[in-house]
Amino acid sequence: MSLIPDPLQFCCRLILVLSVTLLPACKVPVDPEGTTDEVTGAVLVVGALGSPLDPVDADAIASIAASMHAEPKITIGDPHTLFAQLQDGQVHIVAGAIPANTPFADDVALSDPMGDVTLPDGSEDRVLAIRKGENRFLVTVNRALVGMEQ
Amino acid sequence: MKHAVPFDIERKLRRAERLEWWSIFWLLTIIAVMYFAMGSSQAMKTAWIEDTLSLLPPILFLLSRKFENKPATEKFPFGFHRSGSLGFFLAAAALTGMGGFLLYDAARALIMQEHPTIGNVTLLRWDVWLGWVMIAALIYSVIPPVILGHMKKPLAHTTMDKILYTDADMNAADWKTGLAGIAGIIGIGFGFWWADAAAAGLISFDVLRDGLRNMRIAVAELLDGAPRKLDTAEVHPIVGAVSDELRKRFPEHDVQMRETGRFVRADLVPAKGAELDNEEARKLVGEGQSWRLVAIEQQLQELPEPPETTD
Repeated sequence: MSLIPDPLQFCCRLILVLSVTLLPACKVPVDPEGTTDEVTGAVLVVGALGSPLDPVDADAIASIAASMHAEPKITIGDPHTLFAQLQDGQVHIVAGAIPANTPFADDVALSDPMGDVTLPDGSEDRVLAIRKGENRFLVTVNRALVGMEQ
Repeated sequence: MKHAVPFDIERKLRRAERLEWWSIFWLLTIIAVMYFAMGSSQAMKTAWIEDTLSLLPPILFLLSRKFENKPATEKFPFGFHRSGSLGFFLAAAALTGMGGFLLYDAARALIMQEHPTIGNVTLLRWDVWLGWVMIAALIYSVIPPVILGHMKKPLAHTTMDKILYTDADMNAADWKTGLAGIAGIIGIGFGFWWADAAAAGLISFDVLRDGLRNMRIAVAELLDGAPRKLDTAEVHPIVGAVSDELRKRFPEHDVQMRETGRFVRADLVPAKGAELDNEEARKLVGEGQSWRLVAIEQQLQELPEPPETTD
């Protein structure tokens, strides 16, 4: 009895099962903490690292809120407080000239770049921060940013 | 010290060498594909490290093939048969160490409740969730090793090559790694953050188990243990067969067997007073070092006929 077909057959079956069960489920990925559902048609709580937000960040937030039919609500605060609130889910998104190499990068998820931030030692991609693991929300934010560019 | 192996074994060893070169080629493509699809998934990272580690056995096999047949030198009077044993031990140690580390990493991610973040990418103008790309990469990473593993296994059995066997076995079982990784990504897709770390834990547990099993076999060989079977730490049946026959031909002798690489050596030891008497040793090496010389062995070219059996 040859052993080769077993794993291959298994992979084929797996692909079939995935296609049948998952592809129609266009909601994949799902947010473990449900951020997208919470924000859609309701309020997008934005943690702003400065007031007012500069135009690039402000436009991005407006674009995200519009794509989710949500009303943005700005909360101003220092980075430590806002990032802590972001991790707890009290704030949905943090904006304000955040560079991609932010020291908080390990604790939050970062959006795709949207222009540059000028730093003392050069420039870095400008990003937005969201709660870690909220993958549906991250995809929604990234798609809104692409829509903004276009 | 070169020992001619039968033509058929030599042919199979050459075929194994070709398969190992192919393994290295396919693994490099897999490592590249997995690297670009890895993202921040723990399970993907673990599967990628496992794939990278899978390069070790083919490389060590090819290296040991290069050294194994080198003639004995003044500094290495017994030849280089054990280069394979050394390679096997190193591969097993690497697997064990990495398996332990990855298991710790997965446990830490679970305890710290780290939520893996997987965003989207644009591929050929298509905006897709990176999870789908990861699953495609994992499926690709499984196919060549599983096919090559099943081709290498019979060769490993015939040539009694431990590195080749370990490699073939790891390759053949690679689909489990792929499956665990895919399950982890699908779990993330459905919002189960823990699925990724749990899958990574399963994969690393498999790596650790392989490493520990191979360590047992490798250590047995390095400690001059009796020849072991390829796939377990059990003593190989050749030991019983050779020992029985030699005891018949050399009554009042014990037989000690060990393996050096794929080759097996049997030592005949007088049943009484096998160790060299200290006085005798002193005659040979003088006072200071005499305690170190414990035995003098003789290699036999011809064996006496077995005595007539009475029963």
